[in-house]
Amino acid sequence: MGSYYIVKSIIMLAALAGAFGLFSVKVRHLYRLMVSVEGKSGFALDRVGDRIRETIADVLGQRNVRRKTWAGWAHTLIFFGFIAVQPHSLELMINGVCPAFEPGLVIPGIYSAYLYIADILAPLVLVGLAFALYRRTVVKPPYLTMGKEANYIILFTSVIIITFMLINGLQSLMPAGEHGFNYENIFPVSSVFISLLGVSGASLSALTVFYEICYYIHIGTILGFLIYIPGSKHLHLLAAVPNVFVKPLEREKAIAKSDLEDEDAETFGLTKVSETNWMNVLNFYACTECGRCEEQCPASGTDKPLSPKKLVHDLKEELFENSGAILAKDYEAVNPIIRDDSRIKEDEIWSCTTCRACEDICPVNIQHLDFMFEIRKQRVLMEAQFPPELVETFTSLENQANPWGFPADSRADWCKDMDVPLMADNPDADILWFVGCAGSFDDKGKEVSRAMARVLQKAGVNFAILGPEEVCNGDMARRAGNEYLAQMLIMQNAEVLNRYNPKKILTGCPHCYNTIRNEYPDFGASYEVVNNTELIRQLMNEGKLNIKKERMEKMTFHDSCYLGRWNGIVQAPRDVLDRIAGNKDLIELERSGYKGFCCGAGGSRMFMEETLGKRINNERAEEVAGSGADAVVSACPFCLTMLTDGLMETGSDMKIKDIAQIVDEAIG
Amino acid sequence: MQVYVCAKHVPDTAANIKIKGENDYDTTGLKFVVNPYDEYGLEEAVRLVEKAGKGEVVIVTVGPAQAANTMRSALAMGAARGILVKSDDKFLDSRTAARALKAAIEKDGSPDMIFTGKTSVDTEGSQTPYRVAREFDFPVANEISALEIQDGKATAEREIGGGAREVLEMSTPCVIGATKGLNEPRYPKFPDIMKAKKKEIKEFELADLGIDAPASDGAPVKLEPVPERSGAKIMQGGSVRESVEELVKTLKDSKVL
Repeated sequence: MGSYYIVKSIIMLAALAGAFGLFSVKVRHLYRLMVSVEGKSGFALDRVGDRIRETIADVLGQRNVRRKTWAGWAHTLIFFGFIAVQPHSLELMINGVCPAFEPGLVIPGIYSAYLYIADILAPLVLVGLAFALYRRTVVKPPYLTMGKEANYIILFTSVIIITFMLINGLQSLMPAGEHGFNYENIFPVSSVFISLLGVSGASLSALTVFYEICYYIHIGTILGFLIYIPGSKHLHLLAAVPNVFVKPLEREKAIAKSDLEDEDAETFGLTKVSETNWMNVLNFYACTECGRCEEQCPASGTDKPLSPKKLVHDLKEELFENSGAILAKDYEAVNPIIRDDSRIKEDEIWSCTTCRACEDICPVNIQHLDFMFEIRKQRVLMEAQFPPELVETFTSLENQANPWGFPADSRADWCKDMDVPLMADNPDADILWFVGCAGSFDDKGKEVSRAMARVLQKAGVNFAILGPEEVCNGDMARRAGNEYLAQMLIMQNAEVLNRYNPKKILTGCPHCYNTIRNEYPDFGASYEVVNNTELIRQLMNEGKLNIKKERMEKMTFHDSCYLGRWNGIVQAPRDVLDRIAGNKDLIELERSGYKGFCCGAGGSRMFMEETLGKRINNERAEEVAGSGADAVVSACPFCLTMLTDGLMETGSDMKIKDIAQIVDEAIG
Repeated sequence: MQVYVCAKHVPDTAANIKIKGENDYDTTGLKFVVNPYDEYGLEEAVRLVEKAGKGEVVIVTVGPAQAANTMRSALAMGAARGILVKSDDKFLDSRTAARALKAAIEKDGSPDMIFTGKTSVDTEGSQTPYRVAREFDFPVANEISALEIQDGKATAEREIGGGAREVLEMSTPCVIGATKGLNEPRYPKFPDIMKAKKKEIKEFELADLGIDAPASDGAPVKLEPVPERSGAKIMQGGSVRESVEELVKTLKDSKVL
């Protein structure tokens, strides 16, 4: 036997050195690739305490993963069981090389307690895997990638767990050696498991042979898995934790400002995968293709060619395909992302409504839209390739500062007869109301503005508007990739705002809200911005708005993406409606709050034709019409237009109003 | 291939025009653009030169000093450089304009083709293509929506109403008045916009070209805003019969029937 252990020791030493060596070569390659891309991330290692807390909650707490309950719990079981097995496997590896290594003799109490717990957690992995297998073979959700890879991973993991239990079970059958640790009675599950196999009566030598076989299968599978991980989607085992650690800590975020003044810059936006930054690459590594983004995506859900999962996966493939050139820093040799026969097609890029459902749901916080916005910038600025109908929108924005091309000097015509002051006449107003293009020019939008003006007047608010001094906030142009046009508009507004230096800015349009609040600071204009719904709630709380007529119909609320998901404003509109809604509770749509479903207008889609798949607004309108409510309330002029059209096409006679109109009617 | 494009600096059609005095309008805050029909001519010119692989497109404008900003947009769309003949007369008579255009072009080089728009969207005189052609003694075709140039010959198509098209053949150089349908003018790429800022725009006074600003024989006497159209009446609900009766009554009341 002695000579066997010498041979085993040599085999194990070689296997461990080989596997860990190969693993580290692969990981080093991935790391070098990650730091060889050209882009600058702008990441600052701030709020480390918060980052640690978030990472603990999302990784150890599995908080994010469990937002999908069943799959989340399955993942949690696999996660903890798999981790629980690892110290034992490590012990077995060392023990294989050096048989004298027996932690059980040094720290028997801790060791026994650990094995006891691990022995309970490990079989739960099989429960989780059984659920995974059930999903992959029976449920087959369309957003899951049905590749062999996932099946290999399930197989590998099952083998590791089963051999772990066999090893434990066999150890509990074999009496402890003279100085050895006694494994009897510390494996609550495996001892039962082994007894079921009917090997209890076998001879010691037979048990030993069986044990050794299990040992090699167990260690072999783990080492195989180790080598397999870095090249597979299971790379998320390594990349998810750092990706969560460096994630943006705030929900609100801005599109990266391109330095258009930089005369040395040769390109703008994202032309090649080599122009990404290390955080983007970490995003690629962290993706395990769970498909939750695709499940939530309004484009994927209405048969358009875009899938956020595919986008990230394709970019990862691009990265690997060009890794040689990137590592050599020969960026010239890297292929552009959009080219003839490219993985990612133009249609995918223009199908996105930038609703951000993908980013919000991603369990590892991948920032899909960062790619979308930068690729769009590249298409528009560098190639002038974009849906042709946008030419008119861009030209109108350039010439008349609104997307429809209404005369710029008629911006305040909606309130001609309403005694609404201009900032020029009332520069000390408490609130500068940035009305926005829809609120100023669109027929429905103007009605909403007039309602809001009445609400403000009734509440005695000292406010003023900019009138013709206001130009489009820049959201359309920016999210359509026209960074140059967007920056011109933003800078024009920023200059006017800075001249008045308002105490507070009010916006009814969530797109104005988002851009002014989150993106204007990059252009030297930082102001407190409130949304209609927040201000109305505040005025109600202060007793300045009294409800005279409660609404007796059943209402439901459609969340605007740029209010809810982009800025976390989901409660204010509900609080306002609750006060008006008589005795009836608000009906919640199936997809509401942070999981609200887009109306189809975001990301400048409002101004593009929707020719692919089902119309997103119809999809949403059907859900709204089937909610059982009599009226639907929105808080965004674009949602209002899209849902009105959708409801009309659906043949529903449901009423639709903006929240400002509801309030205006209620305070009568 | 040396191609000249006559492009006019005009107020954006979406803008409200504020009339000033009897026969002038206010330009403060008024957005000016390249005359949209001239853009079709420009796009065609740029494509011709791109196809030929040699030559250049030159923008020629008669207008105020501010027209140089408008010309930058045309330069961003592919013209190589510009020539601005300065005149502050918003209603410069078309004979003078044509003579100025000719003098500027001739001073610069020898045209293989000249493009204009079919008309300018401000005064809608539709004079420039013909008058420029007359000055050069070139053939001219206006309202062209398809064009082919080969071996010293231009084949141009124009809609002549009733769904009919006229196909004209001319020797080159000639003057082409472009209209919608000829092409889709390109949206400029950002690097081209930046490059356009540095492209050359030569400036001349009318006098530099030996043209005296004449006592105009075509100046406007009076400008008036077009009366706003009264709002359309919407037939409110009811049955088809009621709606039709209401429609007939409305038409009778307004003396249409």
